Amino acid sequence: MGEEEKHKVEQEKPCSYNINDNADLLAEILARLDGRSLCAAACVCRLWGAVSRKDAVWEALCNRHVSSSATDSSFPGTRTVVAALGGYRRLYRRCVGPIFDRLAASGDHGPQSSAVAAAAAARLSLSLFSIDCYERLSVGGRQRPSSLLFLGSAVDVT
Amino acid sequence: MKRDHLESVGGRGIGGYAPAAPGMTGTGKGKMMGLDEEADGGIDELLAAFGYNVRSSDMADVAEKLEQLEMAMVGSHLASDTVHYNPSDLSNWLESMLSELSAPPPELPQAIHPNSSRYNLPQAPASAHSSTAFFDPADALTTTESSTVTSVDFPAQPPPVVFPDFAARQSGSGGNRVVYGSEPQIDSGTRDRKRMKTSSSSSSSRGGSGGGVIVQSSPTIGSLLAPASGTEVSSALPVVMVDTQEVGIRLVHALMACAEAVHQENFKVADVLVRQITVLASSQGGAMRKVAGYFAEALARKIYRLHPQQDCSLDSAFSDILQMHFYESCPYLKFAHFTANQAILEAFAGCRRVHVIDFSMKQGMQWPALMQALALRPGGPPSFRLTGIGPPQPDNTDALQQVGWKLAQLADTIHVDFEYRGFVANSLADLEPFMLETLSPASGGSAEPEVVAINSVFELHRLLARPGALEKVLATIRAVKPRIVTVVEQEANHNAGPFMERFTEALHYYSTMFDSLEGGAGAAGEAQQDQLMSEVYLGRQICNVVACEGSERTERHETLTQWRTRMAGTGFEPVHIGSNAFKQASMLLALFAGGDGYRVEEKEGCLTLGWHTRPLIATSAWRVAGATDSSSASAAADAH
Repeated sequence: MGEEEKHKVEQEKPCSYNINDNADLLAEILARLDGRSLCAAACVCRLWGAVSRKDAVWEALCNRHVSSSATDSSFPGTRTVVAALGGYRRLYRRCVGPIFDRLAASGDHGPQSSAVAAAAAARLSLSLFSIDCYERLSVGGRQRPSSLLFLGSAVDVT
Repeated sequence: MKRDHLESVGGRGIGGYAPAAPGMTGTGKGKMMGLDEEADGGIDELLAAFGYNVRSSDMADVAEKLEQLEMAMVGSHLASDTVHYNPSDLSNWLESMLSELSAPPPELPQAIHPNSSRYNLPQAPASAHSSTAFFDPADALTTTESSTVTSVDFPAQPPPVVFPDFAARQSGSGGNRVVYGSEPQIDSGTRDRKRMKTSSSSSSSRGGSGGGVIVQSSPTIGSLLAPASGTEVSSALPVVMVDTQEVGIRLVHALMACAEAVHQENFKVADVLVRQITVLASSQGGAMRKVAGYFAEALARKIYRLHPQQDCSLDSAFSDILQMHFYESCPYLKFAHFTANQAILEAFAGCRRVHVIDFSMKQGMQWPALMQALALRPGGPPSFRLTGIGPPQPDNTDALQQVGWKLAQLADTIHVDFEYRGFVANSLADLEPFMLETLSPASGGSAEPEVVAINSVFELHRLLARPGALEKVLATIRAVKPRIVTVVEQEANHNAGPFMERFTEALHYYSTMFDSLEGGAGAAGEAQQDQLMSEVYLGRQICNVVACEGSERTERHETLTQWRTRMAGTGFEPVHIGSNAFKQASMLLALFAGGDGYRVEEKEGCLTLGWHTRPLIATSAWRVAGATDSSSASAAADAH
């Protein structure tokens, strides 16, 4: 009797809680993923897609690329600026992702300089992002903003 | 008669030609060449300078033997393991060469002496012949012989160069060579024309000569001719086998010779050479072909005096578009913007009201990044004022104002207090200090005074075209009392006096530039288009440097050292660009695919971006000498 009850209870327990019921928790979890996994997660179902598109998730991802000792990217004021420029998801897709991928591919400098390098990369990402945003503002100018073409981001994830 | 003539001239030495030589009868070509040197005792001075010991008395013999050798090489087959005796002893070497040839040398109608032809001015037909013969790519005779001589020369000693400036550029490497010699003094006549005809007809079939000498050298334009250890002469078979390295060398030779011809206003020769260049260039690939093409076009413009160089009505809009493509395809402009922005940002630290005056407004691509950085700085953004200066537009559209609108929109989204003013000016020298100063007069006391920065990217060198313009602009800058002046300029001396110096310098500079564009070539369609437009952009600069003169030549680039001297001399002192800029620039370059060749270097507080070892653009920052902090200055003023 005890075993059967326990077994029943155990069987019931996993069913009583579904991660999909708690979007904030899901967001917290997804915020710990890397870029590619996050994009994959966005394809799972509509809820996951919606949660993955939250800018806060991408913000966490971007901030994680910059070490905790860095100043710029984790500033509170940054959120408004980045949001105004187009959001963290776009920032990641257009700048942060390609930049950090490229830098990782070109080799590591070492643990100490990587923090400094990461901060510099973050600043650079923001600068490039602002240029990209500026290009998008052009009315009747170039059809497609292309100042970031050199980053070679060929795949459009949105 | 020919022999007599030669001997008589040879006997009295080269130098003694100027007065009518009594020994020469009726040839009329008494003056042999434009040589000024006195003949040395016995040894021919001119050839001795090249490492050959030839006695003046033997000159005739040597000449004849060279011709025989040349004719013999056409149909013969010299073994690759031919032993060459001391080449500097030209007579004996020739004998040894001749003795190895099986075919008896045919009798020559004339004493044509291509390789010892001095490339010289006066008689157009004669010199046309000599140059054609030398530079004829298809004519295997000339090729083999010229190549032979070239390669033989190297083991002896580093050859002196025609143009000392060029030699200075070539320091270290074997050096380029345009061969000297004595001009053929015999009436060229039919043989010339025959040679030229054969050359032109066989050019299509022979291409870059069947064999010729294998000279080991690197294919890039910049480094020519590492000397080959041995000499190999393979048979001159009519095989279309293009030895691209050799053709590349000949291409550069041809470019240099054409420039020299143009400089000496020897336009017939230059015309022939320009065609040679286009033929040679078509066999090359990549950067070399494109550079040669643009330089050939520029030389052609100079020869035919095509004015105006570019269609001025389309000029500014078109050059803006080209510059946009240049911005996207390679990092030079981005580097310029990022480093200048960093310097300006650091200068603006702690200021609540800032004003930037941009001499090179164009599309305003520099300023979003600065605005973003100002928005994110600790303490919040200052109130940002931008004054943009640009050229008048042909169709009366206010491009400057449109750019201002876009920047204002961006500033609005990131909550930066922004003010914009555009100035249309034909030349920067038209600016007066009162135009650039603060509009609101009275509030200067209560509010914080404005801190001014002036930015110029590739603009200041244009002012050198008109005397006094640069001085006026620098005086205007000083009058505005900026906190910092950022100057980005090309790192090259394209403003030297002599044309040849300018030409060679430009050839090196733009070759390196094109190499770097090639290195970053992405396969994508849009990237290719960007690259193409960037090349057109650079091509226009090349045209301007080579083909224009006087006030039309606006691309008067000068080196960082020259700018430094100039700025220091007019009351500016340098501001060191910090390590943040360096790091950011390095990181930016690391992002460019295929950009392994880019190098950021720091030179006495200025940053340069270059391709491999050659710096191409330089960013420097300045402030008015003796100027202290504005607050302390005003406090000092108040105290008095």
